[in-house]
Amino acid sequence: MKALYVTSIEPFSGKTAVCLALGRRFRREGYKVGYFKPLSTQPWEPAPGRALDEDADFVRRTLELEESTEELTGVLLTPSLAREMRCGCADRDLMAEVKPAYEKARAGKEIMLVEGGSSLREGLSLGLDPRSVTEALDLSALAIIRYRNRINQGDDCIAAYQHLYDHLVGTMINAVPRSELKLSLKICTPCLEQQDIRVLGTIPFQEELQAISVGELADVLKAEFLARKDKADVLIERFVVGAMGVDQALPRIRRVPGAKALITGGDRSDMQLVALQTATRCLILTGNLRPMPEVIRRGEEIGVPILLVRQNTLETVEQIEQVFGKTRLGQETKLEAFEALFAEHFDFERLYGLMELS
Amino acid sequence: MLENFFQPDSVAVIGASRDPEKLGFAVLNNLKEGGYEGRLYPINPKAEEILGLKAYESVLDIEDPVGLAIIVVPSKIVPHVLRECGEKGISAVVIITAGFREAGREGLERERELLDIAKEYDLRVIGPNCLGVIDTDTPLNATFAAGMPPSGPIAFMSQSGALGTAVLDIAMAGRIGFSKFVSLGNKADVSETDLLKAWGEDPSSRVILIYVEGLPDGQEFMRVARDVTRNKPVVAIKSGVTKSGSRAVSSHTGSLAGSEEAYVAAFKQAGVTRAGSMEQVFDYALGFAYQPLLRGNRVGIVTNAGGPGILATDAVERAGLEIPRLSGETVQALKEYLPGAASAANPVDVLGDALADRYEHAIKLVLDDSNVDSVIVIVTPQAMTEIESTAHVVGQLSQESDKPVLACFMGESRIDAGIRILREYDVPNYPFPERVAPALAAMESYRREKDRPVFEPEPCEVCQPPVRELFSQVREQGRVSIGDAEAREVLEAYGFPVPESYLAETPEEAVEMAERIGYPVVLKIASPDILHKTDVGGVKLNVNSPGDVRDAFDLIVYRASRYVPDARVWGCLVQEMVREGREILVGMNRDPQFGPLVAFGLGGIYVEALRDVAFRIAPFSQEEAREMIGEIRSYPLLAGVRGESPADHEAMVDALMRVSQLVTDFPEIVELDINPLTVFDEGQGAVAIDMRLVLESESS
Repeated sequence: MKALYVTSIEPFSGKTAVCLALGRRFRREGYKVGYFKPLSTQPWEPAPGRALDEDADFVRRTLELEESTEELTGVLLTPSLAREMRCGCADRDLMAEVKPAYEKARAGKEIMLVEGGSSLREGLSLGLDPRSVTEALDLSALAIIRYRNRINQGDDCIAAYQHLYDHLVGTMINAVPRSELKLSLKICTPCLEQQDIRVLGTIPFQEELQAISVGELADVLKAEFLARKDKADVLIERFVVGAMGVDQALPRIRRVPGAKALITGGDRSDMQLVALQTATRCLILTGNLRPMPEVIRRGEEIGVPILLVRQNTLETVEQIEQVFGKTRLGQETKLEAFEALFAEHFDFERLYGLMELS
Repeated sequence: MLENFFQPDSVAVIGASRDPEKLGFAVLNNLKEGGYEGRLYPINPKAEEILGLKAYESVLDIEDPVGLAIIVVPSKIVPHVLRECGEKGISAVVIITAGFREAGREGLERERELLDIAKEYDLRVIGPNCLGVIDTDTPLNATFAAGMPPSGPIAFMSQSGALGTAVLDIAMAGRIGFSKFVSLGNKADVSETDLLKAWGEDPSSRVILIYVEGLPDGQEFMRVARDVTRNKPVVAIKSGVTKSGSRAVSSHTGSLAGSEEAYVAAFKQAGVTRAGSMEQVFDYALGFAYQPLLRGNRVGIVTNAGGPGILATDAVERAGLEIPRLSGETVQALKEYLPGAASAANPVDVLGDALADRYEHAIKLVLDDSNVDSVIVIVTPQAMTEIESTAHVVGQLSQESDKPVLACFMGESRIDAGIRILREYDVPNYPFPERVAPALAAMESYRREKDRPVFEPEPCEVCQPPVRELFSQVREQGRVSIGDAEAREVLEAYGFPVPESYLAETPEEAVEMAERIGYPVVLKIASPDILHKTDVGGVKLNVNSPGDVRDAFDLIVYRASRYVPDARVWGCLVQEMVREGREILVGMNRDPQFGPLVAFGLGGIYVEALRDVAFRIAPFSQEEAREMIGEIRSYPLLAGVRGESPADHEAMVDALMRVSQLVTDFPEIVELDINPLTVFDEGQGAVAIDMRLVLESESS
């Protein structure tokens, strides 16, 4: 059995996406693939009294694993466990609980994908930080580095190396702006390789992957669909707030490229009508003010979903900001887009060699 | 086209009623009382006879063909009866019933249904939610308004029915006469443009008045209006021009009010006379409707009072018209006839004791003067003034002359008898000089528009393929903005002179390029994401040495990445330093109703601080381009102040024409700015220094 530990330096770097993409690839190649998450720091409560790890649940569904989500998770950091463990002074040995869970999860599998901490520090006070886990379970680690700039790329790669040493099989730089891709590959990669830090992939930034679906937006905002609920899968990459005069609005909306949504008051018919004349993909109407029937009709006609929310425009923007860019690759289209990008920019052969897969 | 709305052989009133409280009664009664001579069919399944006319259960029961149907049944059954109209082969239907688009979702759906039925049976619909239709020639009064206006040469259309009732009430007081009157209501089918087209050919309408809230088919309206205004004046008032007004239009009608600049330009280009108030609509209409067309801008004034004469003189000049000197013979003749204290110069003061005969002599002499194109007659009610006889004199002279005579009989109680007499002679009266002057000015500007040569776009020599290719590349990359570095390809393809410039990715390349161009050079940040380069310190002028080039490159790239962290930075543009000239701006914003709205103004602070910009909708002619240039307030700066040589006008016109063509050739350009276009002195051309444009993002 082979195992790969996927960790990152900071949250929202793309660990789950990499697990999914690798998992689906291995499966296609005929491997029996398993998944395990040793530590879940933010369990989610789908039903009262039932805590689950959301990522694990999502991976389980996407990779069609037979195990229950509980079986794929080692330790769930519930509030009571957090109290018990204090700051690392408790006697309880959580690693002793993780090990048998891992053993159970990997039974009968050919490749295990182990999703690690969101940072190199995560779990230190619980004894479940990436370094302890890779040592205890004897795992090879792939560190996902979210690109900020070239200096930070170097810092993060070296930090991963210093923490994980021999367990670090390689790094993957994620979300590199296309304009910096060339220099990253030309300057950073050779330099890191020289320091024995393998860069297995440099994945360019793609706006579509940041996108949030209209359905997700409706969930987050607790919105009502006024038109085209069937378009819940439409992805939104950018937002425009329509709070100005309509003359200024048109150029503002036009200058925003890509898939955009307009956030404006439900009573701003002028703004809504203007937006519907541009390539705006969704209207989010605030203040629980219903628009003119023409607006809904037009939305229906040209296939633009219209959401009505109770919040005012500012609250709506704040709520969107909290979730934007942090959603999972919930749509098949988004996952496929990432897989395509991953396939093009990641050196699988080298990873297979390092993992001693044939 | 649309004849059956105005001259039908027969009319069916669907929903006619015996109950005088109901609209269905009022409409039928108006048709009868209004003197309609064709066959009238009340449709009401529950009545045998209404107002002495045999009632029918449905239009399908009528044996003879029906020209026009008026629908006043409740909104829910309108689709059903409209369908019956279709089956009956009726081609014109007025739907007075309300409860459609204006009444919410369900109403909107019902209105769409009406439109589908109309298409299916190829019939035209006015309304719904309207007051109805009047033609005073036929005569036909198919409205529920209170009574029939007097007939006259004015055709009036209004989106607002309520405004229509007020206007009809004014007409009924005897102030104006209408040829046609239509309240358009929700404009489900027939729009301002359709009526304009029809009335353009209507011999009994000398002037067309329009109350406009929004024109969704703005470009088509312009095309039609351009033709119509060659033959007769069109006066329009546009509401919803302020920020709040525009929002009111959207929430009132569910359509866009449109931008004020676009309307100003569109009306001007189409020869439509724009009135600033309802008062002006009628002030202008009276002049157009009842007086001959002007032949020039020189106004003679005859008054019996000094003060009002001076007020009128001011008002005339302020309105852009001229107070000419009268010819020697006229002055001589006036002097011989008038008392010594009178003024024989324009404005001619016949003094307070003038009786009708003195007025008659003076007006006649002034009208006959070849220096005068129109005459304003001012009468104040002084002790000896013969108000009524003077009115007769003015009226008779006006009818004998081919020059417009406008009256300004000032006052109310005593003067009223005179005003009534003037009306009999079709001489419009304005209560104050400040109102008569703008009316004359409107007539004068219409004259100039009418005489303007027929518009034909004049193509420039351009090269489209590289532009097309660039646009598709940009779109493939998911971008909509095009900055300087790429935009110059567009400029070059469209024949704009541009400064020599190259893209440098590294400081070393920048030095190499600077050497190639020759010092001094300009360095500019090259990034598709930074459109306002100076705002981030992304431009360095007058760079004079290799060391400075290297420093400037580093500084600019550093600033860009610091102030716009997400921007894609390609490097720097190294550009030839263009010598000084006058900086102007040529821009374009695509208006949702009228299309490409091209702006011209002085560059830099003038545009932003003074909003000193002239607009036209592309495509436009060279003449219109020339007008734009002359229209800005700061034009004297271009013409040359204090011995300065003038800027190269031909180069500016050329730039405007090329922009006009570019934005017409590529509808996907929604925004464009050439700022600055540096214009050199007369004969030395112009160079487009910087340009950015925005493409319409593609919908999925």
